[in-house]
Amino acid sequence: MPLGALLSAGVPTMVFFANGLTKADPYAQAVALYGLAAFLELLAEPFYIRAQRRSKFKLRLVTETIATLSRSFVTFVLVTRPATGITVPLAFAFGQLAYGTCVWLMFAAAQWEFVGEGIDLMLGRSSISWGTLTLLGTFTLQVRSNFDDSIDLHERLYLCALFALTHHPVMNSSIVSCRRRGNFYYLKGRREY
Amino acid sequence: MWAGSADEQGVYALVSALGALFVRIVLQPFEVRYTLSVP
Repeated sequence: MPLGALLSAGVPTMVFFANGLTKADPYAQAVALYGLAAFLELLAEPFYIRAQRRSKFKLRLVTETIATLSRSFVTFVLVTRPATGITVPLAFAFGQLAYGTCVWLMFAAAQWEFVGEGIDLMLGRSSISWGTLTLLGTFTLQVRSNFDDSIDLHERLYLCALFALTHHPVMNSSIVSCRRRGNFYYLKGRREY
Repeated sequence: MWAGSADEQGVYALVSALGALFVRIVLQPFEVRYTLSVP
């Protein structure tokens, strides 16, 4: 996220100075708006990945449909109404900004509790057990490299779930099952806190 | 730096917007594969 913020601020600034533009130049304004739109889309990325991992495909369908329609609408209106005083590059930039805003707002609004989790993490009200994450990651890599193609996905998932449920500091579980429905895998475990 | 008429700028903008959409569609299967991939 910080790297993305740096890039979306840095690239427009670089274009601005490299071409000797002024702030009044519509091209410079458009590049800045594109940078802002890119950052908004980046802000939506954690929500998007979370939604995908939770199989919330309808959310993506609705979000991207509305966002694309609003981008097209904004661009169309601004390009076909020169009376608004908005130049063509700016019209497309505002369209992109509308897209980024829609994507971020809708993904975040649908998973508002995730925002709370992020804020809690930043304020130090909750924490991630990095040790457990590292351990899990190491184990996952080991499973991958040791078995790779000789072990099927089902078995690999089962091993990871078993490891997670038995090694997590606050979890202790004896029952783990993995079910497959189509291309989706469901993990079930009895967690005892 | 930004030479050309409004029409020309519009054509550039449209072509780049369509190009971006095309690249997105081409990359979509990979995006889905890696977003949903399991260890």
